[in-house]
Formats: sequence, C-alpha cells, structure tokens
Amino acid sequence: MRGATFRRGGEVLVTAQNVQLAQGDHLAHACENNRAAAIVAMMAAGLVRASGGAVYVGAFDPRIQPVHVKRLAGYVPHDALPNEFASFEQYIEYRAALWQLPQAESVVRARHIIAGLDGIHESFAYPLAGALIAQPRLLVLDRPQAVYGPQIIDAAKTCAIFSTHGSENEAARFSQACAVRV
Amino acid sequence: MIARSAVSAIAFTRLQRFAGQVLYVAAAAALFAALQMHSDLGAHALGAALFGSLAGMYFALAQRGGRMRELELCEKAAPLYAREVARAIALVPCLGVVIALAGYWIVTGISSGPRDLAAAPVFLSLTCACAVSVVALGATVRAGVWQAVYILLAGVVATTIVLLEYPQLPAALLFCGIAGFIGLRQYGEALARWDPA
Repeated sequence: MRGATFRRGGEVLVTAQNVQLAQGDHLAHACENNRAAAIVAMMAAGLVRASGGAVYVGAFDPRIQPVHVKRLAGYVPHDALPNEFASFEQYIEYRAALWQLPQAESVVRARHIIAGLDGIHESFAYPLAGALIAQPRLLVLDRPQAVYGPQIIDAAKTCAIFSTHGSENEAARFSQACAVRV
Repeated sequence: MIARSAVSAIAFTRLQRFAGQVLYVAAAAALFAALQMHSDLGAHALGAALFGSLAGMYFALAQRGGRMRELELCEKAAPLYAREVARAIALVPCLGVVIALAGYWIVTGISSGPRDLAAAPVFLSLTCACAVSVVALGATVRAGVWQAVYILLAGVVATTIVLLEYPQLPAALLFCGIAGFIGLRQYGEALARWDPA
C-alpha cells in the first residue's frame, strides 16, 4: 500500500497507509481506530477499493484485477458472525464451491487445519480454516485476538500474514504473542 | 475432483436461509387464491402478477444485510466476477416467487378446475414477478434516494406489465425480458462497485 486512503461522502475514514509486506512475511499493522482497521484489512484482501493512493497484492491492483487479488489473498473478518451452516463440512463445501476447489479434498484439508487450531473459538476458527483451504499466498486478518496468534502462525505455515489492529497496543500485543513485526 | 458451481452454491445456500419465508409467502399466495375463488381468469392473472411482484420485491430486498452478512462477506472475498454473483443472487428471489406462485396457481386450479386455467396468464405472472424481483435487487446495493428510486422502478415495471397484459401479451412478455435483462446488468455493475465497508 502506498498512500492508500478511503473516503466516503467526503469523510476520510482511512488516512494514507504505507505498508509493504514481503512473501512469507508477517506484519501487525496498527490503524487509527477499529473502523479504519476493518477497512484496511478489506482493502488488502481486495474487498474494498482504495479511494486514493495505490494498493498492489502481488503484481495485481484490486481496482483493476480484483479477482486475481482474491485468488492470492484469504480474508478473515473480525466479527463473530452467526454461523448458520448445519455443519463445518457444509460450510467448507460452500467455500470450496465459491473458490472452485475440489470439495472432498477441501474438507480433508480443512479438518487438518481445524485440528491445529485447538482452543480457538469456532466463530474465528471456521472462517480461518475456510480462508486457508484455498492455500492463499497472503492471509489478511481483521483485528485478530492476540491469544490466538501462535495457532494462526502455525496454521498459515509459509503464507504471508497481514493483520490490522485498532490501536498500537493491540498490534504490539499481537506481535508479542506470535513474534511478528509491528 | 467434484467442484460444485459457484452460482448454484450461492443460490441454494441463500434459498435455504429463506426457506421458511418462502413457505410463508407461498401459503399467503394460496390463501389469496382461495379468496379469489369466484373470480374469472382475468382477475386471477392480475392478482397473481401483482402478488408475485410484491413477493419478488420482498425477497429481493431481503437479500442484503442482516442474516445475509456472513454470506455477503464470503461472496465478496471469493474470486468471482460480480456478474456471476449477480446472476446467482438474482436466482434466489426468482425461485422464491416461482414457488409462491405455484402455490397460488395450484389453489386456483383446484378451486376453478384445471379446464378454466390457461398457460399464458400463468407464464406471464411468473415472468412479471421475476422481472420485478431482478429490478428490485438494484435497490439492495444503493442507499438513500436511489434505493427508493429502484423500488419505485420495480413498482412501475409491475404496473406496466399488468397494463400491457391483456391487449398485448407478446409485448408484455417482451417488456418482462427487456426489464429483467437491463435490471440484471445494472445490478451486476452496481455489485462490482459496492463496498462492504
């Protein structure tokens, strides 16, 4: 991200963000507030287009090639969303269909990932496993909890991790928990 | 190595969440048909088209926010083009109104007798409700005045189709097709620009 900003109706919700993340690197990025952290995470995953500045994921600009960016990035939201799928397998099959992955293979991979996420609440573990089944090169986490840090690092393996946080303190806590740079 | 189609996954997952509401609307449609028991086929056609349009608008507007938030984020994060997602989401209110109107026409067929039914009003009520649903979907990715404009536009489409129905049935069907096609394209383009932030 080079000077990436986000505006809505004249109001600047995200001031200029400058972030660089190498392949396989981990970064806990502190934002001004929680809303900015959520938007920066979405910008990094190609869900939201920056109003100003530039964002590149790999060699792709989300404003021009959002689909290519989404193939590289996996996004895990912060909110504990109500999971209304009847089972974990159904949820994974749904995600596999959206990412055009083989279903049976994805379910096996997801079960393996979820086994390594012992102790993480399912409202966070399920989306994390769902994001990792597509084997993304970049994992974008919207305000992850510091206590889950070590398990996330283990599950992500060689994948680059970019996490956004609502304050410097939260970013520092996450980086201490899993030894990533702030 | 079986990969399910993304369109069917989106449509059927959303429809599953709507199953209860679809059944309620189908029951209301059946009750409405029973209340029209002594009416002629013209009144049935008009009633089905207007009820189906209202049901379609309701199903379309319920496609965004609330219980759909989790699915929205998943769909937005998936490597899919907006037009694919738009087609999948458009299927949901269309299937919903087809089920609801099936309830309406089954009750009409039982009460009036199958000989008094004709294929044209049944088909037109279905196409009218589907076209109105697709136009109303445009309101879900807009806010404020533009949202109200799209809801109004869906109402205008329904009224125009009903007014065209009797003198010009082919014209009414053609209008349904054009309105649905333009509505779907508009929805796809708006969905591509829509930010979940």
